[in-house]
Amino acid sequence: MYSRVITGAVSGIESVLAAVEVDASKGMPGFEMVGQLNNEVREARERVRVALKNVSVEIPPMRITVSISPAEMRKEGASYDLPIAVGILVSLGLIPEEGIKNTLIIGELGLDGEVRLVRGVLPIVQRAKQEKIMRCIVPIENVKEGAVIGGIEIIGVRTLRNTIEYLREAEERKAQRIVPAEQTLMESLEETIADVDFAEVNGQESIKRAVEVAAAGFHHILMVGPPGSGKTMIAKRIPTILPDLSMEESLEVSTIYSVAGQLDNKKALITRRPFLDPHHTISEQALAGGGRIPRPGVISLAHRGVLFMDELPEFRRNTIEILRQPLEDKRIHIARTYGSFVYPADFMLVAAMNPCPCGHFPDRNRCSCSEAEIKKYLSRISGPILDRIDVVTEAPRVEIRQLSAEMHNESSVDIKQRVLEARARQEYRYKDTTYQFNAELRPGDIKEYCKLDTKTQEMMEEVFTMMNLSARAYHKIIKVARTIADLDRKEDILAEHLSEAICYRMNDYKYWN
Amino acid sequence: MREDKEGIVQQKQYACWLDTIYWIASDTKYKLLRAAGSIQNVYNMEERQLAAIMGRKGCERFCQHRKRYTPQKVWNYIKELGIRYTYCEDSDFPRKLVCIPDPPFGIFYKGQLPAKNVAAVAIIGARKCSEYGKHMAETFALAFASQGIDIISGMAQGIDGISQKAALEAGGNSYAVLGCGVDIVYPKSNEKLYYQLLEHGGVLSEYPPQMEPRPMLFPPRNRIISALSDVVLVVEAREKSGTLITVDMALEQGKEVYTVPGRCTDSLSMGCNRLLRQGAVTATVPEDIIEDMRWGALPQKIDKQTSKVSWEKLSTIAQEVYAIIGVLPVTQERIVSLLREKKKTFTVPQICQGLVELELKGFIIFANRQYKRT
Repeated sequence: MYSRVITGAVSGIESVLAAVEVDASKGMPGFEMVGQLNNEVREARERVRVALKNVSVEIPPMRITVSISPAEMRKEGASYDLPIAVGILVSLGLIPEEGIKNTLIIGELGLDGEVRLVRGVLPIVQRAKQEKIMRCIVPIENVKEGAVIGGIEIIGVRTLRNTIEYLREAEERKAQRIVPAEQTLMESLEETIADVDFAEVNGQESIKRAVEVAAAGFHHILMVGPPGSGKTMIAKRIPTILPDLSMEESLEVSTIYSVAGQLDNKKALITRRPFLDPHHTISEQALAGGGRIPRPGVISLAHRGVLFMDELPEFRRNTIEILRQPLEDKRIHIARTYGSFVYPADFMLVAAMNPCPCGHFPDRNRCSCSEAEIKKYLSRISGPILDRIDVVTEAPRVEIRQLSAEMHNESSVDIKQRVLEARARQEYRYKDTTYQFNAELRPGDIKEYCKLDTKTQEMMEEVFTMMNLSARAYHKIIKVARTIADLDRKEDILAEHLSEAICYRMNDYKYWN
Repeated sequence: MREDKEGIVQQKQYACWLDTIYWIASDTKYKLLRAAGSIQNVYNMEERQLAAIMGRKGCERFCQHRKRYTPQKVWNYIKELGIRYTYCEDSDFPRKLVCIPDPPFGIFYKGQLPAKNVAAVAIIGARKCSEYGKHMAETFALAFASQGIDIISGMAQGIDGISQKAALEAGGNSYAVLGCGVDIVYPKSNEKLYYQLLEHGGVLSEYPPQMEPRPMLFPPRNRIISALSDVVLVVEAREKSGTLITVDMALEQGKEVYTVPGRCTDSLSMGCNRLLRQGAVTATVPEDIIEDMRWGALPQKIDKQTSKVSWEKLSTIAQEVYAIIGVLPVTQERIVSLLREKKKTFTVPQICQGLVELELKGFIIFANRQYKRT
């Protein structure tokens, strides 16, 4: 007898519905599986056979054929175990056909019949809802992740036996056997209180200000300073001054985490801005996304959040160069034999570095690096990457007085308030365009959105000639000045805004020459 | 000395030939000259006589060299490279080089030789110098150069190169004594300076062209640096520094040694401060040396700020900020915290405004991501 079970699969970050078709008929006994299957999927045959035996279902000596469609897609992962098992049971007549009607089934099987968690449940359930599927049967550990979507019935199952009993139940009594999971969206959104705060940072006022400016306009930022000057401490607090994730953003980010297999019942939905700080030994694949069918890399996991690269020059040059495309297009394109995949990667780059290999330049009492060494160290960061960083600030060594002093520092909430206002101004200004933030402005549009009055224009010209700026540095200064004016609630850029932007400039090519 | 010009040129060719034999020490060359009577005779010397001065091995190598190269051939080669040569019996050989212990036999040079009646100061110091050292070297070199005083140094990284650059920028002349052949630019980072020196001054060396720089070549060249100058000025030196070798040589030659003092705790000032303790003369401003040497007082103290907007026209914030910034560079964050300590309640954006105003008006400069006074 023939049966058809609906399941889902992810390819890259896209999810699709797949169908597991099973046919059990007379003939030479055997168990065949077709449909461009990967090794893990093929191994499902053994897992399913043993798991069925352990729930006391003996597969009769029949010819069983399993086909997973769409056939042109390469299948991978163990999430087909449960639908295959259910398909067999239906075709053997052990589960009524109405039981699986309009139901999506997904899950990995243990030999004892336990249903284990799988990745990608969130996007698959999302897709199922779009395709008007009524009910999804998912492993119990993925149940909260699935329930996030809402408007679709999510049934968490613990074991294969559980599943069989549920499917055999008459429709009206099903809800008594396993209660559909409640939508957990609200409760997950509530726990967004951060455990770090800017109030804990003593001193370093100019860096804090620079970070505020960067956060308000989504500018990438580079902090330069000796070890122990608080660069990492400040970077960790940047997510606390960024606006909260909106519902759509949260789903978008959670989808990436789901595909990467990083969601579970404890963390069903990503509600905080991600903060990723990869170690500098990270490989290119880990950063960009790797594997035959690539999983999202660190830059995609940092989507809508902060990617903190500490000790930037210590990263391998090739690794840093990968950032070029994402910094420009806000997504990463990975091509593999099985097709090309696009992952979103719209992050705020926060980089930190020492001024020289030993870290203490220009304090010559501590630093004994030669000029050649310093140049070599700095040259590890290429121009194209530097070009994409708008704000540069330096972190000097913190003095002991400042550390021990009882200072009243602004809390993250206060700073966040200003950032929110500045962002609201940007949203209003760019409402008819594709822009979201000042940092994205292209040179052609700068003139329209960044108006300088005569006095400021004169000043900018003076600055341009005197400081010997490049056209790119000029544009960067104006974009940053735009953000500073937004923070100051001004529509026109004034001399004071420009002055501050100049202080964050990168053109100091004494550093990079 | 021969009267006819041709004879002098020929003499020079023989001397140049002798001087390109790099493994003969300069005092041996003098011995050979004394024994032979004239430079031509050195070339034609008998093996027995040579062996008496240089030993058997030296004699063999000398004869091999004699067989392979003729003075004419060497001379043409040097000319092709655009290198000039002078030696101890020549009329243009710097007199200052003759009256020192272990004088060089000859000098290869590009550009010019130091002019005879011009005062010269050697400014020397650490290769890895601090911003303070850089500032002091520039200040002294600038003042000397604008007085028409030559700057002699080693074209090394750090203090040497910085002072020579500053001298050239002020329109003065500067001479570099190298520890390698004059046709080799070492260090490479000073290539631009090298070519500038050829225009306004010269590059000198006692080593033959094509000689690669080697550690052991540098201490001997230091004696030429100090010999060519009337005063040696040490700007920054660590406790164990090559600069101190030059100082020893200068003292041996009876030159005056001046030292720029530094903080006792700075490792880059340890050498300087020790020199001061040992009796070197303190130099805090260029006038100290100019007055001591009776080179004529500077006409007027150069007031850099005359060309700028006057101080009064600056905004209050800029004035307050300027008061914080010294000659030593400070970061923006440091400026903020110093102002806080003085109980000034400027916001960071206001301070930025003050900084940019000062920078635009030329009061301060932004280098290595730090601010300092010009």
